[in-house]
Amino acid sequence: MPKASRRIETYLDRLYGYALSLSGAPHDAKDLVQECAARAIAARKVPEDESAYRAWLFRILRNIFLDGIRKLQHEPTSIEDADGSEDVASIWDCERELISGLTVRMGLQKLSTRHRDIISLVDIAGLSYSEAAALLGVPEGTVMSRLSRARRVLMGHISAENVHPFPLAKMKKSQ
Amino acid sequence: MNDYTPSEEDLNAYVDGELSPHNRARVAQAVAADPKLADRIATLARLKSVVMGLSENQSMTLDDLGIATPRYSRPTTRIAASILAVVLIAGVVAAGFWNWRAAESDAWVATAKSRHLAWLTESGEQNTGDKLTSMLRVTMKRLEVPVHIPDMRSAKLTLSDAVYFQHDESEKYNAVQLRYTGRRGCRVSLTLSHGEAALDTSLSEVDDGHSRGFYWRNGEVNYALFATGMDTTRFTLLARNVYLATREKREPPEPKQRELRVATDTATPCRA
Repeated sequence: MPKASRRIETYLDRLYGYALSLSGAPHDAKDLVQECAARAIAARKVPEDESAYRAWLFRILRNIFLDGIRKLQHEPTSIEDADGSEDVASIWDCERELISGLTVRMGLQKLSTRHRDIISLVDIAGLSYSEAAALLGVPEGTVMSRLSRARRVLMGHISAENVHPFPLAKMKKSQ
Repeated sequence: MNDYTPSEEDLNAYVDGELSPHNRARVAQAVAADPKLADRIATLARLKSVVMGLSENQSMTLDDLGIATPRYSRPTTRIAASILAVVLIAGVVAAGFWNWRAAESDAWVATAKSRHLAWLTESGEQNTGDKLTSMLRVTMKRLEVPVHIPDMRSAKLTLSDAVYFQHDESEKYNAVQLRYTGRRGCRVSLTLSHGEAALDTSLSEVDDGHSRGFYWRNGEVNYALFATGMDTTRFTLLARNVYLATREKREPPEPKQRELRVATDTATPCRA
């Protein structure tokens, strides 16, 4: 297997996770990763440093996603969430058990592209604040505040969502 | 007495491991003194952990994406022979150049193939007459080099669309995908790219078990022909004719076209 292919395979899972978070649809996510991988393999100049390479991959995928949105004439940056500041206490007081794969996935899909993007870049792509700032072209402080707001809004969606993980453990005990 | 209250940004940065040692210690001290802060840290940590886990159950390979690494038959021996010759003649420097060429070739073919596979997922658009002529003129002009557009009617395939793209992130390569369709659902793509030549000038084959393709170079133009589910003999003869047409800049002689027509008539329909 050529070096370029071998190198990118390490990141395919996380690229897919990021793509799924951005697009919300498995099929679209796969298309995004496919296009990203094709471009990365075909690229003539590839960063040698591993963290730069990782950031470069996620930048490619992100650009493909944003290009797709532009073609659909959406305005991702105009879709802003409320910052959820009006009821901060109740958001953080919600049962921790509510935070599950299901509720988080549902909550992420309700976020604005900007908020979903920053959470995905840091938590799924695994970028540091400085790497995320470089990729987004914003100061590191903006990453900090944006991420903080995004997580608060996400928690708001999770606590407002009347979805509770199925209490399997309790059921087993009661049987 | 610690009257420092960390901001929400600080708590997030604490969970993300982004604070300096000094600030981390300050936050840790505040959290230890305040159960509510500790609770919030625990919630943030759980949130981060669950988001991180969203991608952990996804296992993806290039094969899954239809970008399987090509298995090259002819270039394998060609590369080996070339490297040997290069070692004998020019040593390690020239060998490095050859490896670069092979990597370029891999990448280009992989791009052409992924474009072909992407097209298979689209609903096929049939352009004819003036619309197709106009589209071809505009698209081929962007390729910035005159090329012969092969006629595949001997294989009962009609040119139906032409798509321009830049196949390289650096946007140095201009590429066009010519889309040929058959009456029974066959789809064949011929991708052309004008840029620094990386492919071999002879007709070479790539087959990963799912899709089969051929690639070659003529002058400054790289070509890749891909089909999915097409009868082996029909596709091989088609590739040979297209190869000849692009080299000679005219359609192959009648006997070769007749041979392709016969193979097409006796072939099983394309599998989806």
